[in-house]
Amino acid sequence: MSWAREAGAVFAKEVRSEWRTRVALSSVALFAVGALTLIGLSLYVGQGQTGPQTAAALLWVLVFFTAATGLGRAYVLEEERGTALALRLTARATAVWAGKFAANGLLLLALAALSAPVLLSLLKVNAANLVLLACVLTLGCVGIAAVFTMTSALVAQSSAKGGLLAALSFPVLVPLLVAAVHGTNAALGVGNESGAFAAGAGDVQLLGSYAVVAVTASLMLIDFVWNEG
Amino acid sequence: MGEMQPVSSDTAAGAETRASLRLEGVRRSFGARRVLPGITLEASGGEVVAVVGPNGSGKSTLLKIVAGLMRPTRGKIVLTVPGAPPIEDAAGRRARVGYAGPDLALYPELTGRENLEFFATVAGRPLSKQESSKRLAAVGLGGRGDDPVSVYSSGMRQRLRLAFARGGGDAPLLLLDEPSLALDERGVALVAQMVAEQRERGGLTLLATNDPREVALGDRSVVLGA
Repeated sequence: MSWAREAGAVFAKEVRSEWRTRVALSSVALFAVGALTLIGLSLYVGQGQTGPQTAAALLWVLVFFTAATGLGRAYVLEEERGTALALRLTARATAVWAGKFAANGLLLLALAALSAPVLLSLLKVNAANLVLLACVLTLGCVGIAAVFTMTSALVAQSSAKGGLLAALSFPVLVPLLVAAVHGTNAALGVGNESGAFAAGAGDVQLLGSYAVVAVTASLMLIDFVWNEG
Repeated sequence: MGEMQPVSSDTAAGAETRASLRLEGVRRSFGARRVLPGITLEASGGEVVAVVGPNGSGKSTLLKIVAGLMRPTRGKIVLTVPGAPPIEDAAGRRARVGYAGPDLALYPELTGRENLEFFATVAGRPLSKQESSKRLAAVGLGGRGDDPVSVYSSGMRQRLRLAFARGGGDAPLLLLDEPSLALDERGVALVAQMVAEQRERGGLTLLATNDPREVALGDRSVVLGA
């Protein structure tokens, strides 16, 4: 049995379980819809216009807190329900991590793909470079999903899971969030397409490198975190 | 609930699994509190060892350590199976044990069949629908395999745990922690049948229990906390 098939089975199980219980999906959707509604209402009341910088910051605030709300349950739920024992006995730690990371990444990407256009239209901000925006969103979500999946494994056996998850993840994610906000600002703000890409190319490189490092480090460390024996 | 069928190996490998287990001074502490004193034990070729003792004496802890789910504070565990060098690492043991305990849960939102198929797939031995049906029938869940586990009674969940532990019926080491918990008389008979089959194949069984019916299944007993 190849490692990829094992990870694929975990991914399929995660998607199936999520589809049936909608635990993460409902909390993530509720947060995103609530945040977007509040932003829309505040703009309606204030009759104001926001620039690309504010739009970029709001977008990543939305993505970060949505991830903190929904992605942390990946390992926590396994421990709380007692299914972690069966999983430890049968699957490799790295395959479990990869399957959960893929499911978390998919959920976050879907959320970003749905909420970004809504947010930008609410703020009346147009994207100068859609490809750059898509790259920044994709790589940013991959990095965030990797960090939250790993942090979820770290805090799963502790008593203060909710608070620890955000507290541990945020400092690790600061470089990613800075690059993501800067890259999004470039994609939204610079007048023409090539200018936007030139301004955001460095951020895309940083986000890509961050994602590679986060995934590699997680795969190297997860066995020590997941298996006590 | 479906008719319970005779428990029998459903793989060719299930024929003969002569194994031996050696525990040398296995100890576990949580901080200053020692929950498991140094346990030394040897068992081989079809033996069934009942691990008995009062609540909190470390029976479940011992089984988890042997399963590779928990690290001993001190001591050594060596599992020997035919055709392989002695296995001393936890990952090696995890891959070769069948384990069922009260704190092991299966996914409530999945059906019994989906649970068995998922765990078999990640363990590297995917099941066909026919094979999963056979495994479910073997624990008396033949007619309920496509129901979600969330609607199972506690006895049915225990039967599913036993199916999980039994796997393909070829684990060299079967670790059963209070296996008759919540089971009716036929379920208790199923446990006895599983243990008998394991013995016939030359596999080892460790039973953590205080139930006299389960203790009677053992060839000998190890008393903890005495």
